[in-house]
Order: sequence, then C-alpha cells, then structure tokens
Amino acid sequence: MTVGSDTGRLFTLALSILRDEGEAQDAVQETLVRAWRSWDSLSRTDHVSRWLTRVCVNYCISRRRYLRSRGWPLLQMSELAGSPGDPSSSAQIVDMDRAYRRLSLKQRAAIALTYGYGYTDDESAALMGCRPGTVRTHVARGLATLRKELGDA
Amino acid sequence: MPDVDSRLDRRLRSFLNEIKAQPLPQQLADFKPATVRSGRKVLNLLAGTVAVAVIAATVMVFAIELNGHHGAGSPAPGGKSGATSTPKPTPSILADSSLPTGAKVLIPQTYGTGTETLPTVTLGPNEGIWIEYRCSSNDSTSFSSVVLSGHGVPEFLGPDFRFWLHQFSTPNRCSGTLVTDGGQGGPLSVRFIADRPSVTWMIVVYEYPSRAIAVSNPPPSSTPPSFPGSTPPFLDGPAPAGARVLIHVTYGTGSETLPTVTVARHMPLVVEGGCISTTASGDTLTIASGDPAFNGSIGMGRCYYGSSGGGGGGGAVGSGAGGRLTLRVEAGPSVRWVILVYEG
Repeated sequence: MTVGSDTGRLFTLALSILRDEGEAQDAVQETLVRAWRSWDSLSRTDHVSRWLTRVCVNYCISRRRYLRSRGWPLLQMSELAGSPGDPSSSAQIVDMDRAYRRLSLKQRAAIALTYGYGYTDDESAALMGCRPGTVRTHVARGLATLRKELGDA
Repeated sequence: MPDVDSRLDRRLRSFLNEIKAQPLPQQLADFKPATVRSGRKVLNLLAGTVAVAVIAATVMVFAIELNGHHGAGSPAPGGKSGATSTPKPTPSILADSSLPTGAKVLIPQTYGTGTETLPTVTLGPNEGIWIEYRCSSNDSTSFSSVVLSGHGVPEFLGPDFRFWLHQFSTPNRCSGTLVTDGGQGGPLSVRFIADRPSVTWMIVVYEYPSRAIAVSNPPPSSTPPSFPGSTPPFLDGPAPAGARVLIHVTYGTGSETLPTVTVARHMPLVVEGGCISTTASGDTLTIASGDPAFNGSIGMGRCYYGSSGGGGGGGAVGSGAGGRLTLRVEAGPSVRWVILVYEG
C-alpha cells in the first residue's frame, strides 16, 4: 500500500474532529483497512488521498454517534499542552480546545477542512457528503459558537 | 477561507496547527492493513490475536500474555522462551463487534473506577468468554488488566489468567474485546485491576456457545489447581517501555536466591513484587542483598491467604553504587511470590 504518507495527515484531521487520540487512531485504522479492502479498484484511480480523507471524515462524524448509541462512557480526551515555555499560548490553546469541544462533529469537520486544511467549500462538501451551503452553515455556526465561548462575541 | 476576525483567526490557526503538529502514534506508524482480516479496530485485532492464540495453542497464550508483563521480546518466566510470532487473526474472532450467535450476558455493562472485582458468575460448559472493555486514565503510565479466575476459567488458560490491557491501549485509554474458547465451565470471577484509583472503565461479559478445548497437561508455569484460591500473586505492572529489565518476571515459592545481574552506576533500581500465602498469618516477603548495589533489605508487604490474589508492591531501591547484584527473596514456605527487577 502506498498510503503511508497520508497516515499522519489523516490522524491529525481525525484528531481535530474527534478530539480523542484513541478514537482518532481508530478512525485512521478503519480508513486504512477499508482502503486495503478496496485497493484493487482504488489503486487504479488518481484520487487515493481524497478517497482516504472522505472515508476518514465520514467515519469520524459517524463514530461518536455510534459510541453514544452504544452507551460507551466518555473517555479521556486528547489534550494539547501548547508551546512549552509560553504560558499564555498554552492557556489560549486550552481555552480554544475547550470551546472547540462545544462544536458538533460536523462543525468541527467543516472548520478543520476549510480552515485548517485549506479545502474549498466545494471540496469540503464532497468530503463530508453534503452541499457546499451546508458546509458554510456548519462553519459559520461553529465560528459563532467559538466567539461566544471565547468571549469574543 | 471563511470570514473570521483576526483575533479568532489567530487563535484558531494556532490551535489547529497544534493539532497538526501532533506526532503519529507508533501504533499507527506500525499499522499494516495487509495483516488484517476484518474491519475491527487494531486494538481489538490484537486482543483477537490473543484469543486466536488461546484457541491455537496454550503456550502461545502464555507467551503473549506474559509478554504484557515485561515488554515485548522478553522471555517468559520460568526459563520458558515465549513464542513471539503473532498468529494471524481469523474472521470469526474479529467479526466487527457483533456478538456470536447465542451469546448471553453474564455481567451486564458495568462501570467502575480503580480496581474492582465483579460478581462471580457461572460459565456454562463449552461456553466461551467474550469480554468488551474500555478504560481511560489521566495518567499515561497507568496500566490496567483484566483477571479471570475461578474454576470456570477454561483450563487451557490456566486456573488464572491475567490480560494486560496496556498493550491494547493508547497512553490514556484502552478498548477492545477479549475472546476465549470454551472450557469446562464453572464459577468465573472477573476482576478489573487498575494501578490508579482514577482509572475509569467499562466492561461487559458474555458467554457464547463454543467448542471446548481440552488440556491434558497444564502449562508448566500455571498455578497448581490445589493452590488456595485461584489467583496468583500480582505485580503492579510490567516494566515500562525502555527500561532495562534485570530480572524478568519470575514466580517462586518460599525463599530463593535470584540470578546475579549487573546494575549500572547511578541507575535507580526498581523492584516490583507480589505475594500470596497459603496461610492466614500474613507472611512477609522480603528482598535482600549484601551487595554494594543494594546493601540492605526491603519488605515487599505481607502475604495473606486468599482467593483474591496477592497485592503488588515495590519501588525504586538500590544504592546507586552499581556492580554485580544477587538478590534473595526471603519468604515463608507457604508464600508464593512474583518479582520483577529493572533499572528505571
């Protein structure tokens, strides 16, 4: 398989959506397993990275729903420490992390894709399996929540 | 790019960059989908591997299970070199979280914190055990394990079976499925052991119709069935990754002199021990040596009769002088013990 270079990107993307390192690992593993299963057809295309991203994003969005439906307990979330030696930076990141966790998974996915990874609305929509307008709505509502949670409103 | 004010823009960018800078966990770096036969999480695949090993060969079970005691590549106790090859998981074990036909709940979904013994249940003959677990901890060094004990534990697992969860975990959490084949049936006690009271967990235990595996000769390192209770002495946990193990997990009874090892200068020496006794008098377990590297003795705690297993204990000891070291375990003849020594 030649998807090794995508693994790190998929992991941080999943982590930005799920905010749970273990779940992010699971998401990447599941994505790679699905890729392996479909490799005969997938390897003949030129959009492997996009395919992987789409599978990973959709797994992330559905994963937490699955866990909640199974009644799993909320687990220890991944924490970001911020830059060492910069307490103000650390505090800001912790605040942002707390606010970010208030967002829905789709809002996180939309923000991560468009804002963190530079995908266009159209591209993000294709990855999330929705319309571009829906992506814009998720982003706008997510940012509004962040402003409110961070006291920037 | 969405319309974001500059302050939020800066903070959000910094936050997402922090996430993007997270290193790829080793588990993912090592992940090889080509070895996978099902979509089940790799954490569960590893658990499934144990289960398959259970079904395939008792020796393999012990090799893998004991691997969890002291890190990959370490030999199994008692001089038995553990098989280290990993059997391929099979689809029947790795079916995506769907329970096998005929599965019945033995212990319903139970939440807990720290170490806890669940109510004893009765496992039917030829019924396999299917355990789903999850745990989380604030402490990345925390180790947890699930112990199966009682006469209902399938014989091929030995009369007690400890399953370390940390190998199937990220630093702060674990999840997975432990599956065994069936055995003779009988009372089964499931104990979740956490080395931190703050560890939270969830567990659910099923039994399911399975073939029974008969064992003609119990594995040499298993506890004799005649031993009081059914649980061996426990350690607090395996040696941490990267630690140089001087004396691998070793089980014994009564007083015994351990093999001589060489300790590096100024290196903390960690001795972990656990014990259990056939008497109720509370025998002690002491580790002693007159060598400069140690020079003294430490009490590892009292060892009580019981079916609940022996507690682990230990900590950093040693003089820092380094050099050759011969430790002696001092305990009454009724004391069974386990010890692990490493430079930490």
